[in-house]
Amino acid sequence: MKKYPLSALSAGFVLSLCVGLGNQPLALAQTAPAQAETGKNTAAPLAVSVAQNNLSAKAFVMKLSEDAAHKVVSSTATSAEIDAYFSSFLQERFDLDAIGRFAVGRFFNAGTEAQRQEFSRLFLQQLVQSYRQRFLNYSNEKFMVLSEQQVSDKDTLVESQFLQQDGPPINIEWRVRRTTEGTYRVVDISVEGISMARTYRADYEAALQRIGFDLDAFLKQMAQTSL
Amino acid sequence: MKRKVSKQLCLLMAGSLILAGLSGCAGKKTGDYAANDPLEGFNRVVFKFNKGVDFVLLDPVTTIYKVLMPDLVQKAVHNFLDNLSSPVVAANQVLQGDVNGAGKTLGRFALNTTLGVGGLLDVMEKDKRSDEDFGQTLASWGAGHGAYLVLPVIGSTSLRDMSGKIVDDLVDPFNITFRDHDWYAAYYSRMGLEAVSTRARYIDEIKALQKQSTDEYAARRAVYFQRRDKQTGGKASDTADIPE
Repeated sequence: MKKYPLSALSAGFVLSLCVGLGNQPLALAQTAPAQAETGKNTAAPLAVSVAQNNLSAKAFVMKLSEDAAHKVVSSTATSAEIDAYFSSFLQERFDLDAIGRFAVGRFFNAGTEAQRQEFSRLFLQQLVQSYRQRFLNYSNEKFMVLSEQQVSDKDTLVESQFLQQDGPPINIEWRVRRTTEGTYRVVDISVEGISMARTYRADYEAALQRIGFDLDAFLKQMAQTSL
Repeated sequence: MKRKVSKQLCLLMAGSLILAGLSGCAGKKTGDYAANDPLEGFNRVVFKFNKGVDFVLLDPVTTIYKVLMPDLVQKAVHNFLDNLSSPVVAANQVLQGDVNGAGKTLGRFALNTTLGVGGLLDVMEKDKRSDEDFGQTLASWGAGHGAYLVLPVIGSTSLRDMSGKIVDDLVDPFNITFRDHDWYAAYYSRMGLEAVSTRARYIDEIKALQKQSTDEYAARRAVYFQRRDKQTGGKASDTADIPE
């Protein structure tokens, strides 16, 4: 006779749920461009040119991935060089201001200009670090842009896939926004449905709430995590 | 014996349905994940505890696994475990009205079990595997997430998904066989292996999220809900309100 079916069951259940836990593509959400940017390209200029007028949203995302791959492909680059490259790359191709304001904006309305600037600096630093890591992990994979769909006056969703060497493709959706200069900037990336912007917002909101909306303390915390 | 199991099963099924039903009323699906987390205080304590467990147990084991096992073996283990879960996935697909999908899952199961040497190889590895569980089935029947829960060792789940896991575990034909024959070693091995294999596959992502987040608990919670929303509705996270 089975003596302890239930205890066995519950223990098994406990362990099986670990799988559920682990199944999350977790940080992918925050590091999507790194994956996406591994399309093959060897000749992209280091300083990314702004002359991208009249590109379609799809072409913008494709070019973005190609340009980003460039630095990784040349393996001689030092980590400082890569950081500097990604830093300017992100500032140019991403609407970091909009993403940042989406994440913490309401709380920073009362803040000082210095606090806002410090936030932008740390936010960029955090993005650079996470993206850089992704690049190195995924540089052998391929990136493919599938379709685009305009969803508002300015915003277009671009569907893309990240083709893994073994295993199914990873779906990545970009929300890109048309600028007044006629080019685009990324405002969000969702990897398998997990949005970078929303995840950051949930993260920062909770962090702020827990320290009583003390912006300076929050910035200190941020600085610690992005070390 | 059989009757006893099926009685437990019915009880749990009913229980989980009630739980899921209740939980459906508990929180609206708004963007604010904190609203879905009435037990945050408790959850945060368990979260901390789990980090300790990860540190002293799961991470070292996973590291050893990753270092010692060739990639091919790791992949075979992963394929094998995925293949084992196919009957439950197919059953859930049927419950969700996706008979075609269930047929595909079972076809793949048959192919992998035979040609794929008991599931060690995945003959269709470029196709995304369906991964349906009873939590998702409950969602397809209209149940909301319910309260977010962080359980010891298990980690992130919700009232609904926890109920679903219990049901999945109960009806899994392999687990039933293991239990009926008192093969608890096999039963636990499967669970342990799943934990380690999955951890090994996502360790980079997990570490990256740990590094990036200011409030890791909140970030994990946000990821959990977004992932489950995606799985249950294909509904993308709504970021239309990103400011100009």
